[in-house]
Amino acid sequence: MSEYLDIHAVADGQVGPEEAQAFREQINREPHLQRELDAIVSLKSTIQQHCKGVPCEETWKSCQSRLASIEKADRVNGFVAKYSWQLCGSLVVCILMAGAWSRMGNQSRSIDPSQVPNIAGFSALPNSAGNEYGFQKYLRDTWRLNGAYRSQVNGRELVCYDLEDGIGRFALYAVAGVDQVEGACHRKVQGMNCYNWVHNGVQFMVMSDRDHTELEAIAAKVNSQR
Amino acid sequence: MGTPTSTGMLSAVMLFRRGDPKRERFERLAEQVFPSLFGTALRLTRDREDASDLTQEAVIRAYEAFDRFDGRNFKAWMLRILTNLYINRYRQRKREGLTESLDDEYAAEPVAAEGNTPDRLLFDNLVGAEVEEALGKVPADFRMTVLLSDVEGMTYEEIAEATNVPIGTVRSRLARGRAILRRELERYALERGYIRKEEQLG
Repeated sequence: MSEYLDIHAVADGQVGPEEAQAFREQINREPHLQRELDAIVSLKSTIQQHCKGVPCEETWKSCQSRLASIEKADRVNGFVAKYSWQLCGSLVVCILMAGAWSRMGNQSRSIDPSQVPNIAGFSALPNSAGNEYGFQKYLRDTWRLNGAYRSQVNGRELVCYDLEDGIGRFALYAVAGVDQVEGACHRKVQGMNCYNWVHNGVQFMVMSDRDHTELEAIAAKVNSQR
Repeated sequence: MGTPTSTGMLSAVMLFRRGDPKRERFERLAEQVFPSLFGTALRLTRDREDASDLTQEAVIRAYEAFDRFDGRNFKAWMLRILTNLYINRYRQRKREGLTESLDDEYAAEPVAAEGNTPDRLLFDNLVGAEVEEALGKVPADFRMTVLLSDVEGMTYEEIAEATNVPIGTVRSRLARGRAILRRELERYALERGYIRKEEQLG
């Protein structure tokens, strides 16, 4: 039966010229093979004639749309893969810059007076420490300095003066590098009145049992000397 | 030559630019062979929706593998992807129960009828729908081989590659497929009165 397979190969042009010639000779000798070859050729021709193209514009448009989506995704992936280090580096720089900005912003913020009584670790300073903030005249003439101390609050230096005048003792705190007071100027801190103000880049807090008018008078004296 | 920064900016701009040379090249080629692909898919699946899915999937696979295309016969390459996809997915899903035993290399049978039916008389009266319907009656593996050979004009070697079978199997499937198709066409011709019983039997 393999001769039938060979006839298909001849009809399909899938044999070499010499082989085809040999088959043609055999076909001439055997009429049933000729009939078979004719049948195959006719069948092939019928299939080619009737199996025509099918409308498929919609499917092609869908394909194009899917290809466009894939292309877009490929481009984004390619870009990210190529520049991932740069993107990561930029992100790190942004984070560092944001941190630095935030830190710089904190530097100029005022200290909340309610934090002051909780500060531990004050270390004593010499009595000449008042010169630092420019109110030595009052330290000498009007007020008596019982002691000066230094400590840290939120990473910044805080100087405390234990002062006394004719009325009694009061505490004066100073923090350098502050632009403005946040919150109310008059506060109550652990039962004491507190007046909180900024003058020439220094935050002052005066705390005592006295009323606010007297605290403001002390503030005015401090400011007038600076 | 630009600095790294300017190159980066250029790439960022190109990222959103329309038209990719790869896609353009692929679409130009695919558009030409698409009707063949869709026709083959439709004749294999015998369902328009399945054919649409199969063709789209084949096109996407081909696009993804386009870098590996050897540049020779694009249509044969695409048909190979399509038939492989069909074999792996659709035929398994439909479980058409195809017939490895029929693939015997020597299981050939004549295409020509035993009687004296003139082929012109048989084939000339048939219309496209009848041929398509008769083709649908041919078992899937044989139908695929006949389609690839007679409709798409692929060589035995290309068909063997596309369907993952040896050339001998292609030859036997082609012979069996054509014989079955011829019988089906003859049956249609009898039913519609294009030929008479006596002519068929001789």
